Amino acid sequence: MDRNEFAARVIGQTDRMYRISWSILRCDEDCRDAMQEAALKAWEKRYTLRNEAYFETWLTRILLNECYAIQRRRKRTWPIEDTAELFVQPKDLTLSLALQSLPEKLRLPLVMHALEGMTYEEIGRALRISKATVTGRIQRAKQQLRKELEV
Amino acid sequence: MDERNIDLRDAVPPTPDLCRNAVLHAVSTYTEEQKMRRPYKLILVVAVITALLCGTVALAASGWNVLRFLQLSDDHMSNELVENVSAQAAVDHCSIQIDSVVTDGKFLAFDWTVQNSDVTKPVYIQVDSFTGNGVPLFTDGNDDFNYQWFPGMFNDGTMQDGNLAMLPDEIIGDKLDVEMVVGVYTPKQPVYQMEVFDADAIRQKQNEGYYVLVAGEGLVFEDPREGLVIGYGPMNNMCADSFDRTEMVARFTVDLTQGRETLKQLLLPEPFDNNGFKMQYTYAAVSSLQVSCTIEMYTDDMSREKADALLSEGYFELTDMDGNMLDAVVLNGFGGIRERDDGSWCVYFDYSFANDAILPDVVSVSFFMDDGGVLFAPIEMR
Repeated sequence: MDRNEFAARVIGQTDRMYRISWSILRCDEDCRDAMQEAALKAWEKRYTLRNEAYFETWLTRILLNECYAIQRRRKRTWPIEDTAELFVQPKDLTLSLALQSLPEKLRLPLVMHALEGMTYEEIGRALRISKATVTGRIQRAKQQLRKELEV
Repeated sequence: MDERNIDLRDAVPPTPDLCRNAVLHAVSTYTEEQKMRRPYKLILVVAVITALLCGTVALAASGWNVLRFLQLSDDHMSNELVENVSAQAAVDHCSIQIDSVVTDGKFLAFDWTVQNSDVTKPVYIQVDSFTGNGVPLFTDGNDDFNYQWFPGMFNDGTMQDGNLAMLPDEIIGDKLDVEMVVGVYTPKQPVYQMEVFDADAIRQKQNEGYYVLVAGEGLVFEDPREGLVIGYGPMNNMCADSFDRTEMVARFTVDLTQGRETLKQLLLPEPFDNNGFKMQYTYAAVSSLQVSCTIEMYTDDMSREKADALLSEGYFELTDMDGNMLDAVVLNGFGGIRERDDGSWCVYFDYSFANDAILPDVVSVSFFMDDGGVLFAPIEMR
């Protein structure tokens, strides 16, 4: 994969990168930092991409590391009940708040599956958890989300 | 949840321009970027770890060992180098166990299993120190799996993982004494674990004297500005005093001689001239575990600027002589520019990959140019 193709593939992942980083950080400025750093590191670490077929998962893994690094670096955590710090509000605020109310470990696999179309196997690879665990978390996420929306 | 009626896309905001621009800006710098950020000799190479950790949990019940950690089959030729060490350490209800190690004197890899056998008493565990013969062995900051709440994401309180390190040059002698200090941070008050954030229940439990851990992600504390906040651990200054620290120290000694005996220098071929681009191996060695090589690429009297530009005009891959990329487990891969003895500059690339019988006898660290050209540099591996 040459530089231009690599850049094009990274740019093509922008929306996914935002949604995934939003699922963790829920602050647009932090998302920006994570996405920018992930895009840079992906280029630096491109030699570690063994199979181009896994590009998206590989990039997602780098992005996740950046998100977690930002969480730690800024010693920043987010109040579950508060609205995220966003420049653009979601279309369905009620649904968004319900989604945000889920614990991250449930929210993230759900977003990766329902929004990004990632398979359970791909999610497991990115999050380093088993496929069975992914399945369980997504089921629980759906249950809790439904519960939140019923209230 | 009825997914037919709920569109989660409406729950996440559209990508704001500042994020979109950040990615565009990042990719625009690709041509300028110096790839290597840290001295490679001191880096724990975990290029492969992202892939290695996949399926960790699934493997838990089926015999975790260093070859599985390295994603190598049990009959891989490095199997002869695997040493069983059975290093163990424990404190209270937590333990660490290291069962198998493999080294060829250049790389060191080992498995480890960390367990909290009492899942009702969560602890935060992290690797505080990792040394060989007293010399720090570094982990790549991009892989942050060396700390974790237990049980946290691991419902049974067990995590299986491993480390892969490139040994620094300071490591001399025939024995390597490895020490891994694992801090165990225990909350000072009893912990109540909740799966779902419930503010009323949290406050009630806190009033009863509990720390509340939600979804294994961290403790909940009252932030004066933000209210109840989830995600606290001993690394948060706000609550660092809320933990007692004990430690588990796992030690084992590895004999470097056997692995070193399999480490053989490869015959360095003469420089290849690809239409004025010279490619020259300056180091190449093979062991039962891996193949390492360093290749330089340059033109006559290449300036630093030209080397920098060339670095950005393509990328290296391990290929066969037809230009097909080989599916080798990459242990290390770094590129950069550097000055040669005669004062000219070159692009160089350091490559290590798992030795595998399925690889052809002749491989090439090939440079794929942006214009579609491929510069081959064949080298015999055996």
